[in-house]
Amino acid sequence: MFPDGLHGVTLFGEVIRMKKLLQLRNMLTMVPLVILAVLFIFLPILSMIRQSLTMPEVGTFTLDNYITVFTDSIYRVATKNSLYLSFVSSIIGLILSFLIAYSINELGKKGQGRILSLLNMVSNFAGLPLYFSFVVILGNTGIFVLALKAIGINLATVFKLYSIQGLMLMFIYFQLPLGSLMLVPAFQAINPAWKEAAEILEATPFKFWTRIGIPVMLPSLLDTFALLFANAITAYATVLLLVTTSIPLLPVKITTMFTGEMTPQREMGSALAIWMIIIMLLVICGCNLLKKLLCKGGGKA
Amino acid sequence: MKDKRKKTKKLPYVILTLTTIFLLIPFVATLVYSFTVGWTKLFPAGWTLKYWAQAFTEADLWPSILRGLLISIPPIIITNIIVVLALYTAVVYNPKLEKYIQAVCMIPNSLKGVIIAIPVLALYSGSDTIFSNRMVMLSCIYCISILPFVYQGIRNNLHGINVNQLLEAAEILGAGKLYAFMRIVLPNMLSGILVSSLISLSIIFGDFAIIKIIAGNKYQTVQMLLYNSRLIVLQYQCVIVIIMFAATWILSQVVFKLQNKNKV
Repeated sequence: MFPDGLHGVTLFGEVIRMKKLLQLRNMLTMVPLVILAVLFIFLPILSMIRQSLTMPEVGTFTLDNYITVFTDSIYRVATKNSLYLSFVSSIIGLILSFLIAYSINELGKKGQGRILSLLNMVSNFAGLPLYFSFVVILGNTGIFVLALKAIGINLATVFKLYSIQGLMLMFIYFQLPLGSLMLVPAFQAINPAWKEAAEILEATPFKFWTRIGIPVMLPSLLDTFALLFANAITAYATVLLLVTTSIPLLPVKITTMFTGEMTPQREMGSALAIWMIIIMLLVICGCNLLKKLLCKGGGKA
Repeated sequence: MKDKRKKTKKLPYVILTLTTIFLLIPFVATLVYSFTVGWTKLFPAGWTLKYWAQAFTEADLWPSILRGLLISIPPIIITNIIVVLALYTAVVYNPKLEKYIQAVCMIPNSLKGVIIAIPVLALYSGSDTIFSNRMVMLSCIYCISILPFVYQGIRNNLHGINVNQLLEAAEILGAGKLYAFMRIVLPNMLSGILVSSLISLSIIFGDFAIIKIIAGNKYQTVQMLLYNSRLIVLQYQCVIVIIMFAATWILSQVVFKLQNKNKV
């Protein structure tokens, strides 16, 4: 196994070298994962960053694409719409999910099972099928719209599916099951003894939740918010048919720049895609930072 | 104390009832609408099975469903193997690496759909590599997008079965490392792998964004079939929605049962 004429010291070195080799050999099993991630996450995004910084056709370095993202009204409106929809739907989704998860936690085991399986079932209901279902109930000839019209109520005066309101409703619909399913375990982390202790000290339930419950759950709430946000801002199938031209949104805009019938605008599309990734990273990092800050504060106090 | 509990228990029921109604309305409406001739007044104008018959005689329906299931098989196998390899050695030999694996595997939780498909398309679509083949590209992107779910399933499983103790016991009894892995660890992981595979299957089956961007109409899954039928009567789309939903629902039921069985 070892070369001839080895002295003790070199033997020792050899053992260490072997150990390192063994460790390296164990690292070999990581290689497929690394290759997959490099080829289909890192390289594509790096190349997209490079492309977003090149001038169309000329190929020289430029920041023009990003300047256009921030100045051109179409892109600004798309950004604004995407941000508005994602933020508001995530916050409403988070609040409602909190209430739902709280209620689930109050149920007996049997009821919990039932409602969890319902949420599980509905969480699969997103994208195109969800869009068609909403057209059935609330579209221009949707059954609610027509039924209400038959009894003299014109729903269109207060609610239109083909508008940002309609999108908001659909977004909240698909956020609810996801958010609730994520928050149910967080509620289980709240020790019933704390509630009893708070009750003995004559704290109202409201005070218990604002002073103890929610702060304890804050990390989970922030995680859930980040997930809901990422989910909303990347939503493509749900919005594609609803708002192709009337309400520009980032994912649809980006996609048409690469796959649309018109000549592709790869550089501009790249800048827009990178901009969307930056927004998402900012939100996720913001949530993580907030989590760290608040958890530290809690630790000190 | 018990009395207080009973008093406050009304609110959860109200919340959950409202939630259930809100969440079920789209389904029930879609299901009912698929049986109607038309619905222009307070009640439907009449009932028919025409659209169900039309969907079931549509030559493309079953092949499309099958295509959606077929395309998910290579990514599920590849990703499971990759994650088992990486995580197993990390857990057994090098626990420090675990957090890096987690970091990588969790990326597709936020960078998903459009944001993962477009960069890959832009980089490889014109290239001379094998990745410019749309089916290969599609499979690889699916590998990425199911990564978080496969990772979580396998991680929970590996920690749940206490691999290190199992291996020690096996080695004391004279089993080699590979033998111990193949005969003891892997069989113990199967149920976890099965659950995460089924979740992955329903994710790929439910995907529209990636398939639309990468394959377009070159590979018609049931999602694309639904998209292409957007101009046909609404009832027909309702039937397809219900069929698709039934398929994913069966899948999720199986997953749910398996998961609960594992917990006990």
